[in-house]
Amino acid sequence: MIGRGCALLLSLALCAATLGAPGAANAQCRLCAIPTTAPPSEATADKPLRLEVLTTLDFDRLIVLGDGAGTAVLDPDGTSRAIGAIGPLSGRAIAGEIVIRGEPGRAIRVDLPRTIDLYGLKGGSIRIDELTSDLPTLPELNAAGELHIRIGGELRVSGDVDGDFRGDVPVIVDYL
Amino acid sequence: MTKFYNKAALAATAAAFAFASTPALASPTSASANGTATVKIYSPLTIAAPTATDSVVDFGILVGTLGGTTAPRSANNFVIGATAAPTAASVCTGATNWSCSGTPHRATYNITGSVDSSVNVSFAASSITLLRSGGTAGVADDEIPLDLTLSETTDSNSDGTADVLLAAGAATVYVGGSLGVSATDVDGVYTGSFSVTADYQ
Repeated sequence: MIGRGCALLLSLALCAATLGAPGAANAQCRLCAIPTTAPPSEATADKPLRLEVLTTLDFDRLIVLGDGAGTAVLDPDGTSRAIGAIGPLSGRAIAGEIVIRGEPGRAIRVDLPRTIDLYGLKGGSIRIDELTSDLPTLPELNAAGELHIRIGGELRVSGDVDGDFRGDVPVIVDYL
Repeated sequence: MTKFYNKAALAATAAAFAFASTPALASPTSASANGTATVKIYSPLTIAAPTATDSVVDFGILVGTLGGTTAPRSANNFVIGATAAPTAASVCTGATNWSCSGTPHRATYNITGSVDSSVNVSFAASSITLLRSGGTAGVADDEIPLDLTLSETTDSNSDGTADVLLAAGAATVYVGGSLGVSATDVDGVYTGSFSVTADYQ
């Protein structure tokens, strides 16, 4: 009988503590507080980072004009030009564009490769020697939680190449 | 009574502990994706006649004969078809009071470029004027009009140019024409020039 009474009192005490007893009771019984694993109130959960590719980096159609090397330049703003033994067949080159979405105002780090290899559907490869972008020096998501990045590059062509070429542009984004 | 209170207390305790122990969900702090870069590269495109003779549309020798009733020669369109090699007889088909001889031939052009590419072939001008050697430009009897024809006639996009497929990176096209000789054209050698162009589609 006495044992059961003690058990009942102990249970009632625990119950009072966890069910939010008045502040005076908490201050008096700090050792009774049940520890919580909830994060501090000032560090709320960020929106997850998402990355979407809006447009392909497309140099469109180029023609080899003769012997020697040539370079096709496509700037992030979409302007293009050709240098050396290569020329455009059409003026429809398009800069690539990606959008990053996440927590508004958060600083992020964006990893873009410096060079890209493009592989021919009939074999062979060519290289974008210098991938360029309009990525800010200190990138962060805007008030809407977005950052758009446009991507261009310098494509070097030499030798006897022709055909369709394609390559991947891997992009990695992290919250800072 | 005692038993009831014990069970209620234990249940409340268990419930409170369970609530306090629920962990916060973690949010992804990184993301990755693969964009794509593309380009199509074409070999240089060339169009050229294999020899100097191949660049000429030659109607041979056309002789206007007098008929039995001394009828003068009549106007006639002499045709070199682009799709088949001509002969003197074929050039004179349908011509009245004319005889044809010599070695007529159509012009031949070889086109080279990227394998499996399609090109547009066209004339700078589809009609030209042949001028008599020693004649005067603008004098009707010193000039003969020539309407050019191409062996390829498919125009899938209706842009006025012929579609030619470079199946193995090469193709051959032929040029012929219809020569509008009038009855009063002055005897002589008539020449003119034309330009044929190929462009990647």
